[in-house]
Amino acid sequence: MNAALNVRDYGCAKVRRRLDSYLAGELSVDLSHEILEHLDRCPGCRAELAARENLRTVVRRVASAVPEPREGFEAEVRARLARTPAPSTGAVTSLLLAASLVAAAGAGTLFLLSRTAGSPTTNMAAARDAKAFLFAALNHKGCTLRFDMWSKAPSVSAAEIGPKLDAELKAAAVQAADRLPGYEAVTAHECSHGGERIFHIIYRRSGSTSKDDLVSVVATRPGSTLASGVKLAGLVSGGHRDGLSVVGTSAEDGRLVLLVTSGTDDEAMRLGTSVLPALATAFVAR
Amino acid sequence: MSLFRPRPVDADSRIREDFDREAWPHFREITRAALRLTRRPAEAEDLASEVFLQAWKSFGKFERGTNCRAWLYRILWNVNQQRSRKKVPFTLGAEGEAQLAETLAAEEPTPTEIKDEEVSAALDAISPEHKQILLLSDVDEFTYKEIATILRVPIGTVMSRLSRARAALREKVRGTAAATSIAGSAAAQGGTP
Repeated sequence: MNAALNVRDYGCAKVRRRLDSYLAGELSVDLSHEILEHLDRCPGCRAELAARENLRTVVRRVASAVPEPREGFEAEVRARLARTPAPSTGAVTSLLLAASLVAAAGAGTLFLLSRTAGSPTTNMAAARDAKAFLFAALNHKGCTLRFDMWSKAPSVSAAEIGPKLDAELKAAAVQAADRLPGYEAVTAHECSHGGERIFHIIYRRSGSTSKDDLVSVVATRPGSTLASGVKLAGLVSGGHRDGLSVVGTSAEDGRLVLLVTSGTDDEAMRLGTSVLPALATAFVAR
Repeated sequence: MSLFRPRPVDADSRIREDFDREAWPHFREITRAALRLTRRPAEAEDLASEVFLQAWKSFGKFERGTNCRAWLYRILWNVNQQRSRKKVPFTLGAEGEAQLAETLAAEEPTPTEIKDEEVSAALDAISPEHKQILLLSDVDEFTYKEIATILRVPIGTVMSRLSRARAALREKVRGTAAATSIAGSAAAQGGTP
């Protein structure tokens, strides 16, 4: 059974060293692409990937099989804390918070912002949402590094986009290709995240060859762990990372569809309104 | 009139409200994580209780709006590590760096058919720090960056330690699965009287 899984060459050894980070979704988009390409042609590494994924599933199941806390235990701890004086806080905490925000902004760290209070289409993103938004931003950055190659490629019509995609994704790409006013679809392909395939369309502003004028639409597959627990009701503004704005929505089948742009929040929301609901519907319709 | 006025009641209420909102929602998870670490309910309750007491006492230093869950895990890690150090020396145990490097370079394939009890035994057989980082990554689903914050180590250390932990776990699982298989074969060959 295991003979077929033996490491075949240096490529296999290199890939296997990175398989766990790949499964954890911690590799850069470029490295994930390399792993995916190798997996496509190497049944041994595909089998090893499946075996490691299975092991992680069993670890999760085994380690999660612990009982809930005893009834009354939380109340006991609460009572103990109620008898303990409150810690000092106030101005120092505010200063620390302000300092941390300044430091975070300087480092380009992702932090979440709620949009205009009272807007019916926005809310404060939760931690799991943040992971999805962060992934979309990183995916956009990783893929658009190859823009030089794309800028030389001729524009493609909606019908020509995503030639390597399967029928469902191809149909969704065709539906989405002409949806962004002032933009043209450059390519549609699949990327990877944690061993899952992600659907990615890249648009550029018509006539522009600047990376800053690229827009990504990223969609998860059904059952994606990235989408697990994330509920984006309506269009939700995500966060900012390195000057990127992200908005997202959920399809009825749970898939997430996210848009990333270098533009302002308002621009992101305007573009998202143009394409995301239609794309979410396109997935559910199939 | 005293120069040292007591803190206004509303300030105390506010910090308790903040703690209710930020920390208490994670109480059950922290208690269960403590049980995963200790495997003994009484010890887990003691550990979780200590974590929340320390969290409360140092809540003034917690930056509101940041990741309270990761902050609580960091306290859990610290308290558990302090207690572990009192019991046994904190070392890599049998899994030396050189041996692991060799293991990583020429690793056998991961078994495809594994039983829960084999994995459970393997988790108990690897070193506590390997188990801890595996749980943080695969069960608690923290990112490498969050784990680096919790353990207060560079992200590169997280990656290398996780890699060694996973290799060690796979090695133990292979050993357990092989032993089970041999025992099964022997029992089958023995037949019935």
